[in-house]
Amino acid sequence: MADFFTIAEASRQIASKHLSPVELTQACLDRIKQLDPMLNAFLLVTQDRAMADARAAEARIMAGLSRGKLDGIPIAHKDIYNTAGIRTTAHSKLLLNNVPERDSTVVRKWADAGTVMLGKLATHEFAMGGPSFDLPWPPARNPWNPAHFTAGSSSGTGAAVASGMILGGTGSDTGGSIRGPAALCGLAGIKPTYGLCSRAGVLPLSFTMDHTGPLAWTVEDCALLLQAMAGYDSADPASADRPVADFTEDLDRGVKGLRIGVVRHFFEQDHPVSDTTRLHIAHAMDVFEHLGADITEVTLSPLEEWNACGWIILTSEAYAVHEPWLKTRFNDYGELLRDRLALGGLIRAGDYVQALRRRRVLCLELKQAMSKLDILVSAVQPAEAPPIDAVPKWAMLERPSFTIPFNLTGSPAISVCSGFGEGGLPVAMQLIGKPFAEATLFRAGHAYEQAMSGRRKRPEMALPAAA
Amino acid sequence: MKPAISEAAFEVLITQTGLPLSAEQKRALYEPYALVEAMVLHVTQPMPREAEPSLIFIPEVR
Repeated sequence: MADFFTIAEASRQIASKHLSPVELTQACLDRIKQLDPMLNAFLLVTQDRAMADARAAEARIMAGLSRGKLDGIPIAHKDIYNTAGIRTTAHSKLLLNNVPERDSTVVRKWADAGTVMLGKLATHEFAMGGPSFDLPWPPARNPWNPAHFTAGSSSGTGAAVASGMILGGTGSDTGGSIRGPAALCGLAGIKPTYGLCSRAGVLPLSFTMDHTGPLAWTVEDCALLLQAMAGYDSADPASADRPVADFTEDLDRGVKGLRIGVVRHFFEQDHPVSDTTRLHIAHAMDVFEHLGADITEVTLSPLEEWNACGWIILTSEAYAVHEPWLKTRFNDYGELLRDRLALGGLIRAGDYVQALRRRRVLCLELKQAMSKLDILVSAVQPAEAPPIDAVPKWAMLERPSFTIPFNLTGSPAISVCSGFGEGGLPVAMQLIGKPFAEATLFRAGHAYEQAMSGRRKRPEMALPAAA
Repeated sequence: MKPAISEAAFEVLITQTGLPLSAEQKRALYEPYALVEAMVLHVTQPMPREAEPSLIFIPEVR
């Protein structure tokens, strides 16, 4: 058996009966046993459930009753996704004994697709407070260098996929929590259009900014996972009642004829990124141009405008979600989250409404800017992952985020690994699409990965020689 | 960066939330509040009077 599989590769081999879901699952469990003590990606490993899922998948496939491309694929869920009968903690003391009665919609949909659930993954506390060292579990660490940050809040998913402990996993993204860990852990991660994937049964942070989505090793794998997540759900008031596109149908069409706009001022002036990050984005644009895309430069309102609007809405809504607990169990939160939430309680109602009005203005601005474009390009993170113990407490407020603008607009946005920095850690670019045009982002991201000879380099600690 | 709000006025703001913060916890929030003030300035720039909030009410509740 190969050391690592993408979901697409594993799926092909499982379908042709060259790979056993049971053996693949056991290999993942072995890797968890070997690596997770260093990475803290898992809050709970559901070994018995995983083996039962794998045996059931194997029986279906041997009987010619496969449920499709995800049947027998090992995955895990961020620990804000409700799992029936399985502890769901949000990485917080407040929910140490919380055992949901029902699966969240996405957990159920992935189970119906035949995935094998290996457990529950670390997150920043309630998807906002981290990296924290005063919670019941330590923070996840970056497989490319465990002394470094994964970004968050889908930190455990980032670490688990990058190290090969799972082939894909769920994340959530309210200000960049899928795209950030995807960028710093060297993965692909997509925040789909608001309303495409159900949030029902996922612990809320900010009702109008929360999105669910997948992280995986490649863009193609993200497309496969998103296909099984997307779709109308009457249990989610924001769910879009519309048909779901086929996300893999056009995957190999390339970028010829696509119109790509680079928001250069976001990452060169408004929040300058590292030279490596900037050069890799420039190189990616050269690749796209060489492949036939039309590249232009786009100017939007300064990144700070988008960021301010996003954070005022996010923290106000997060405060509203948490206010009852903040008043009764303030000191049961980790320091980072309780302080961030408390600031949200200081925002006046009038300012929240002004932010909502500004949000509509910015949505219209983006719509206008994209009227003659298919894709926007920006950065995801300012540089490679910093040391985990050197992340400033207020970093998320001090420098404008590259990702939150597209939580504001609800646009689909994907983080694609664009190479490695001087420290040997991954860097990334962000591709942003029009609403419900995820297939276009997958098409471009996949073309880039193929042009760069795929995704061959894996973290050293996960290689067999390091075992 | 020091907030524009005085420490006394900040104390009132905190008290209004009803959160059970210790004196030390309140002090820890005072300076970061300057970051919130800066963000509020961004979203309170003049907008057309008819600029509607992004949240609208839909009577047909699902």
